[in-house]
Amino acid sequence: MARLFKNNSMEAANAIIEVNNLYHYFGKKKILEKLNLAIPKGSFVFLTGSTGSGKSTFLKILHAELAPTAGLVRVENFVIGPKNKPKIHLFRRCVQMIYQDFEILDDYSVKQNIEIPLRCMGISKKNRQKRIEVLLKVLELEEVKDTPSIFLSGGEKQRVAIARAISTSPKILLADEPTGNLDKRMAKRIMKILSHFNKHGTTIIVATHSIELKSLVENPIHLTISDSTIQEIK
Amino acid sequence: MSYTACLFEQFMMLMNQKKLQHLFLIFVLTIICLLVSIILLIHYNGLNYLKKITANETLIITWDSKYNKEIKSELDKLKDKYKIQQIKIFSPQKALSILMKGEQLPKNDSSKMYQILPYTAIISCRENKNNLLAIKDILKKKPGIKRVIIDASKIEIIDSIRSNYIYFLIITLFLLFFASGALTFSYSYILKLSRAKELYILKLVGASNTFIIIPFTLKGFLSGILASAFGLFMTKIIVLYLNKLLNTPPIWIKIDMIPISYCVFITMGIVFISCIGSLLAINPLFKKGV
Repeated sequence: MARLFKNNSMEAANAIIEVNNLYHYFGKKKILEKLNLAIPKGSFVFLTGSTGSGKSTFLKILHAELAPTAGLVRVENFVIGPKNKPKIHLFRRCVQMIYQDFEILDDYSVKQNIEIPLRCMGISKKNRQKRIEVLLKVLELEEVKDTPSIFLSGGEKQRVAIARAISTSPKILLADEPTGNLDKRMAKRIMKILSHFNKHGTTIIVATHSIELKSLVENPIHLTISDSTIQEIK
Repeated sequence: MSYTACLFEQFMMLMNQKKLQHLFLIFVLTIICLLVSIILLIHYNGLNYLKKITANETLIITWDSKYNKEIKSELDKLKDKYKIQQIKIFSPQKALSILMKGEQLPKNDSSKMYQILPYTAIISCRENKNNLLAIKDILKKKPGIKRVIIDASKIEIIDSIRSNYIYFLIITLFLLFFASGALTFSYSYILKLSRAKELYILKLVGASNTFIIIPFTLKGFLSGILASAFGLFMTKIIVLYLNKLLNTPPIWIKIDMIPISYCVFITMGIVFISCIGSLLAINPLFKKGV
């Protein structure tokens, strides 16, 4: 099992995410300070920490939604820095994110929501339909495929968000509290789905409060953010 | 007129939005600009015709019956020299008959009266002010002439107003383009606001700028084309209607449709400005770091 901190050059070479001296401030408030880490390809990372510790901020930096105050982040072949911004449409084909509040369009049907990133990528209609059908089957959304998202339950919405995120087969999947709104049974189901994709080579980083979910995944890496710094818990 | 459809749609959208006073202001200004331009265009057309009518104004002369022969021969000479279009001479009998609405007057009583009453002639010199003025000067000096009436001062005033109107019209044309741009900008801006979440999510999942720009610009382009076509169609209808109304006796005013080259120029201008307006509206979206 690969470990993360940058001391080992072998591990750094295998890393899909590399963080170098990352600082982030909101005004004068310090959120992240001097983060250095390397996340190996194909790993499943749990990111924990108290509310407001900076988990979501860290994920947003990795997703290039926020520019760091200082330092550099390399995600796959893209470099994110205070003044470095990757070409978003190319970057997001590689990195997708699942949000706690789903960020799906209520007036779109399940199929239409899943189709959005595929349309953005310019995939043909025939191939889009094929992919959507597979995802609907895997995530058990076939029955509600034409239902507007506003009528879906929390679990269904979360699965739609997951389906949308993995529809483009991203190399990295970031999930911000993906089970936050769900009951234990549904949370387990979601984690199994994520674990399934992880086994197929997707690097997954999950920010969560429910560390018991760790047991559902093989060889997870557990990172925690406290006092603006990041540590690995073994 | 050319943006009636868009204006209506936008107005309906504005009614559903709060805190959009500045857009409402643009909306109101646009309507004012359009109204001003329409009023100016109508005035310009009106002045053109007014000039034609006044230029065609008749020179009315009256003379003593004793000098009838001399004046008539003088008028014949002038007709060829100054290209007089028409001379209508009314004898005192005819003039009285017109005044009495065709009633026959008793011959005995009228004979005395005819000697007192003057002859009248109406001279038309279409759209040639200088000729009319020259005739006036010549006839004034002739013996027996009682009155020569012409109101050339009106023509000069109208001429000066008309020449100033051209500047106003150029400004108005630019205002019209600005108005169409502003209209499309505010329309696209509202559209962007109403689709803000969709656009945000599109950016989140990796839509390129082109992917987002194309539908908006296309909408601006199509609305420009449709609005111009609708406007030209409406103008054509109005021209036909006005001609039916005005191009009849006794007015005989014919209103011409704008030349096709002008139509193409205006349509292209509006479409171009519409596209620019929609691009400007969506521009702030790309500055955010989503």
